[in-house]
Amino acid sequence: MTLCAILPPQILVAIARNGTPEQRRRALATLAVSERMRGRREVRASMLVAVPTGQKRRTVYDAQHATRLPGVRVRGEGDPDSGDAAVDEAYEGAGSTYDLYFDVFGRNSIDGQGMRLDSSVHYGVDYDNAFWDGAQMVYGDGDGDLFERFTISVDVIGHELTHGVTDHAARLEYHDQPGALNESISDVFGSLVKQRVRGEKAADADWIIGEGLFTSRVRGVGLRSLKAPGSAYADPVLGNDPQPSHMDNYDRSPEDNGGVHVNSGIPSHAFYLAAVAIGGFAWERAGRIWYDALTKRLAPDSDFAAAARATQAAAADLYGSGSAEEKAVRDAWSQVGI
Amino acid sequence: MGSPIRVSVVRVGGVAGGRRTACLDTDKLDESRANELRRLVEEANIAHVSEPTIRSTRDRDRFHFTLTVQQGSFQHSLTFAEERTPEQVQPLLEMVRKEGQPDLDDTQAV
Repeated sequence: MTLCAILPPQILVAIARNGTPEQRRRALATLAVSERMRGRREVRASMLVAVPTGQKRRTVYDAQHATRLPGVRVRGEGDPDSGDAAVDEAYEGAGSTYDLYFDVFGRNSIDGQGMRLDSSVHYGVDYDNAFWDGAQMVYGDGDGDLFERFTISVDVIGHELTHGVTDHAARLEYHDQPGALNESISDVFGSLVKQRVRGEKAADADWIIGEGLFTSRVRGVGLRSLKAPGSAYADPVLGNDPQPSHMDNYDRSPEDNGGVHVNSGIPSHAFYLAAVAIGGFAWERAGRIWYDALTKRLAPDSDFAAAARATQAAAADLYGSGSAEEKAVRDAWSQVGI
Repeated sequence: MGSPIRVSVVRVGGVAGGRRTACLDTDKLDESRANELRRLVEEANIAHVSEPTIRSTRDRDRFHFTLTVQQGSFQHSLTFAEERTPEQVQPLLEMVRKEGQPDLDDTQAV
């Protein structure tokens, strides 16, 4: 691609933000030349504001079935497919998640400053889990009996990476209601990554987290449903999906940090209800409202009621007091008992 | 040989959530595996492990385990986050998870 100085600066700035590394380099060079020619310092100023210090920087490691992290580096940014499904899914999924945050919310990676996106795959033996260790994403291969590899669902990748975003934003504590909110935010943005990859509107999406993660032996469609919490699986071995969709069924067990993976169903369902009521692509307005709350309004100890207030305030600020969006958010929380 | 030993593990959490159990009983194992279980129980010495922190500080979506050893009137449990698994407990945990059967006495199992 040849970049001519005839392109208006805003287009060059857009390329500098969104293009490939080579396109970015050329756009920046062109902007610098334009600036010298025209003596327009504001071009450079806008460029410096618009172009973050970092860019998408993905690295995938192979833990080689051990538990020492990160393992052996197998794919870096711009490298071709490795041929290893787990490696390539981790790479692509991290890219799709980065793109959602950057393109839609203007956030440059996990910390907003271009943090590297490191992932390790083939962690442990028959390991039925994916996690965020505070610095990177980690994926097991599953046991093959109940679970497939954990990179198979792009929303699980979005879920793990979003734990990093939350740690750099609201820093929600990982227990009880703040913890369930932390989990819910990971499911919400994970689901948005999946919907955006598929180009699905809120009303058309399945809102399932972890679709494809179960083997054919398991009776279930995925780990969780934001649309109908409690309905994702009913299996003789795994039991029934325990998620509530209303405060009346809040799980008070102390297990799993006070049920963070169970009670997340309540705020997640509120997001689903708001997104469908608002309509269109869920990431455009409902997602922006939740992102605004996550990054500007929630605190480490925020509970569900605080999240309801934060998202309503965000909707009012973004779309106007008394707007349809604000009403949709208020009604959604009301329907889940908040 | 001593009295029979029963070791159970409850696993909760992980990105998938849910609750899984496994238990092993020296009475139901062949002699060599029963001896191995006794050896690992002794090595784990969980009555003398200081209770590790349950709550994760940085990690998200990790498993939590509760390991319970019963022998005669002795019963002791230890709960810990996966990333804080005490080193001497790891081999016992692995054996129960790999060779154990679902714990039918676990009334909380869904």
